[in-house]
Amino acid sequence: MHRPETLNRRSVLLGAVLATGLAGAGCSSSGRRLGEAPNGDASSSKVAADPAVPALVDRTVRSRAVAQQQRLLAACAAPAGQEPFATLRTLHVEHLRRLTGSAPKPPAQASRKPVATDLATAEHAAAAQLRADCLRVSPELAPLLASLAASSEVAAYLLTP
Amino acid sequence: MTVSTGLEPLLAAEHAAIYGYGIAGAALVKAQASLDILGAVRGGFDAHRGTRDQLADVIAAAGGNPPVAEAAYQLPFDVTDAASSLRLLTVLEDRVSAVAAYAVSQSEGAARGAAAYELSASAVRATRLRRLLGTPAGSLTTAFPGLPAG
Repeated sequence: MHRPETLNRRSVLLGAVLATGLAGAGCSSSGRRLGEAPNGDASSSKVAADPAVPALVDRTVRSRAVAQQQRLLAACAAPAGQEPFATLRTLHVEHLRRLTGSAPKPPAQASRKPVATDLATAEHAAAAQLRADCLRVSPELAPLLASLAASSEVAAYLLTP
Repeated sequence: MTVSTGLEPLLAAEHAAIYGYGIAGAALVKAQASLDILGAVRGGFDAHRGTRDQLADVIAAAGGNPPVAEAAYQLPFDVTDAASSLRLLTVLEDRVSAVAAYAVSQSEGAARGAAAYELSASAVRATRLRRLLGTPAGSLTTAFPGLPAG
C-alpha cells in the first residue's frame, strides 16, 4: 500500500477528482487522524461523535473484534511457511496489534494445515460482522472496522481455489 | 442547501477509476492479454460502474449533489503494456480503498454501509490484480486496506 506522506499529488494522482478523494482519505502528511475532516476541522465532520454513547459502544465492539481476530489467528495455525496461512497469520497478528496495542502470542505450529473452506467461511462471517459493527460505531472506530472487514474478505479470497 | 452524504469523494474516485480501467483495458487488449486477465479487468470495470450508479442514487436520494466525471484524467505513469496496465489498476484500487475508508468515517447508515462494502470490494480487486502481476505471496495484501500504515 502506498504511504500517504510519500504521495506527490501533482505527479502521482490520477487527476484532480481522485486527488480530492485522497486528500479526504486521511492521507495528508499533517498527522491528521482518520475520522477528522479533510481540512482538519473536526467540527465540520459529517458525523459528530456523541460523547455520551461511543465510548461504551466502542469498547464492546472493540472487544468483540479482538476476540474474533484471536479466533481467526488460532484457526490459521499450520505448518511453517504454508501459504496462504502464513500471510493470514501475519494479517491477524497486525490486526490484534492495532486493536490491543501489543503483539499477540503467535499460535503454536500445527502439524496439518487447516481446511481452507472452513477458514474462508469464518473469514466471511468475520467480514459481515465487522461491516455491521462499522455501521453503528463512532466515526473514529468505523474506518478501522471497515478495513478489518476488507482484510477478512481478502483472506477469504486468498483461501478460495 | 446541498446535503453532504460523505460519499461524494468516493463517487469522484469511482469516476476516475472507471476512466483508468478504460485506458488499461484498451492496452491489455492490444497486448493480447490472457482471458484470465481480461476477465478480471472486465469484472472490475463493471463493478466500478455499478458502484458509481449506486452511489449516485444514494447521494441524489439524500438530497445531495452527485459529482460528475471529468472529461479526462492525468495518468500517474505511462500505460504501454500489460504490466503497466495492471500496475495502474492496482494503484487505482488502492486509492479507492483509501477514499472508501475515509467515506466510512464521514457517513452514516446506508451510506456508511455502501462505503464499507466498497472498501472490501476494492481491497479484494487489488489483491487479485497483484496476483495477476505475479506479486510474491507475502506481499499480496496489507493488514489494513485503505488505512495509513502504522
